[in-house]
Amino acid sequence: MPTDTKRVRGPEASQSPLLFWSRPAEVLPSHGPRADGRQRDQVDVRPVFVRCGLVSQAKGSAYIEAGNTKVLCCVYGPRETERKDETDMKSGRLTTDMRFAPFSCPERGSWIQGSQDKDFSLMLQESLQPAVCLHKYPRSQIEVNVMVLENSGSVLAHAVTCASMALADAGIEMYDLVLGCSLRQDGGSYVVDPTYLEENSWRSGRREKRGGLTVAFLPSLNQVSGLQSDGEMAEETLTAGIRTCIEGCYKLYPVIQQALIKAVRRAAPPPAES
Amino acid sequence: MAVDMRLPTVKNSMSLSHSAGDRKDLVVPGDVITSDTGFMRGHGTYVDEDKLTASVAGEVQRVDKLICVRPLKTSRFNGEVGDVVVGRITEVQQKRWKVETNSRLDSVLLLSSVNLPGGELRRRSAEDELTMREYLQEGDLISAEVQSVFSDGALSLHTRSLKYGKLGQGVLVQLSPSLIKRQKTHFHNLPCGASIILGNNGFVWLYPTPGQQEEEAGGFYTSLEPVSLSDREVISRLRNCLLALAAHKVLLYDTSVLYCYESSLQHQVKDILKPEVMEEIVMLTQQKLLEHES
Repeated sequence: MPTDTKRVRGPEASQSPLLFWSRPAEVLPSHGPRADGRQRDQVDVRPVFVRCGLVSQAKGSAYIEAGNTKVLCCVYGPRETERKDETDMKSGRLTTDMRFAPFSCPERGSWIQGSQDKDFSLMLQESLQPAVCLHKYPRSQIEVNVMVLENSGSVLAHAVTCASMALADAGIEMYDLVLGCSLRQDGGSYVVDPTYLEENSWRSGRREKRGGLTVAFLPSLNQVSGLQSDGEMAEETLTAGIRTCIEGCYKLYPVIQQALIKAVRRAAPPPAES
Repeated sequence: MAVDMRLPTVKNSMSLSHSAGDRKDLVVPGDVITSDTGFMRGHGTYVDEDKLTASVAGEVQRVDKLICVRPLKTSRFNGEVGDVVVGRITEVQQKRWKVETNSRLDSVLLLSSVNLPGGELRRRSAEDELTMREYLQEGDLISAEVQSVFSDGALSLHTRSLKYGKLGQGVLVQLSPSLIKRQKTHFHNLPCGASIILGNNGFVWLYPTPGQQEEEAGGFYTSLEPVSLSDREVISRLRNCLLALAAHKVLLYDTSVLYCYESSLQHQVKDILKPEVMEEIVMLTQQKLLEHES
């Protein structure tokens, strides 16, 4: 995220105190239990708090909290768009926008979107598009806006889950829910659903088999709709990592289902006249 | 100016809206409803390898062999032929107007589907096309009826009756379309002193009851005479009653609106929007409705 450059700068001869601030390099151990008590090398995802329908102005909305990661998603639409070309006449369009609040990361960012935000927005769209029945909404546009309120690791995965819940809350037809799960590979061991420190701690030394992986998964149809990975990993590690992430998604599935059913029960319309 | 402030408190779940029984058949997108191939699929479902799967979050409705899933928020209006709608003009195009009616796509009002001022039945000339903006501009509110539905779901409206046309002074209340009951007529002159148009698309229009008005204008004449204070009070009270009924998901039709108005007379107009007053009024209304039915 680009740092804020509009703050008051001191006189020209001055330098930022951040240059002299020596932070002890956070080196997380690669063995033993993780900082928050979860297990390494096991599918141990953080417990989530999910709620739908919190934003009254949007057609559909969802809020997810996993550990300290807080993500809010709003869905607007379907709205009519101007017909730009033939493809619009037959199916709808899904536009996504993912933003980080300036107060979300340990270093204050700016409200202007950086390249990372645009990358995430694109990945979010690729993960959600296969799941939405766009052929049922010709000439329409569905807007998905995700706002990350606090970034404490595996933000893209939780944003995908949050966005698909908001789409279901808005009553938009989908083939299946999309759940996200991410993983961090560090040497020989991996951690599922990493926190911010676990994602960003770099150790000098061995560089092989270190990287991150995020999977967007459709549980009922058993299909992967989005895959994002960075770092260097061997092929077997990658495939094993994908399988682990899929297991993580299955663990989340019942919680998400329950939250949606609760939202349906609360917002149920009056019984129709027979 | 007096200000009323209150701290947020935990609201008890509204006991008024607990209708018959607990709905058991709630599904989310991706849930398999049945693997039996004998059923026909309705709205909100799709078939994937002989498995009938839900595509929206809602409750399953089974009518004989038809299974459909009703989504939780029917906030988009799905129009049918014959529905009365209240809409706002968003665009003036060649030979037609685009009307926003709370549906998925903007509805279309063709120039040939309106009554020209003067009520004459004549062919639309090129002059009529150029002067379309004099009849209806962007931002005007109209009441119309659905003539037909296009293949992509857009509605085609018409105002070919003297009761439809441009709306003048009044108050618009935007609600969910599922709360409006289907009736024979949607235009009511309430005995309390105002008139109401309950559009099927969830837009409700409240306006002062017109006096002896000339009708040949064909629905484009809007009276700009000042509305009296008593009429304004009645309309404001009705609007708050509508919001109260909508908050408690009560079906809206002329009788329920009238009973709610009568139950609210003991409170001040601005107090109706307070949650506890709303509950009280809606409870009284529902009691009266039950007595009326039995």
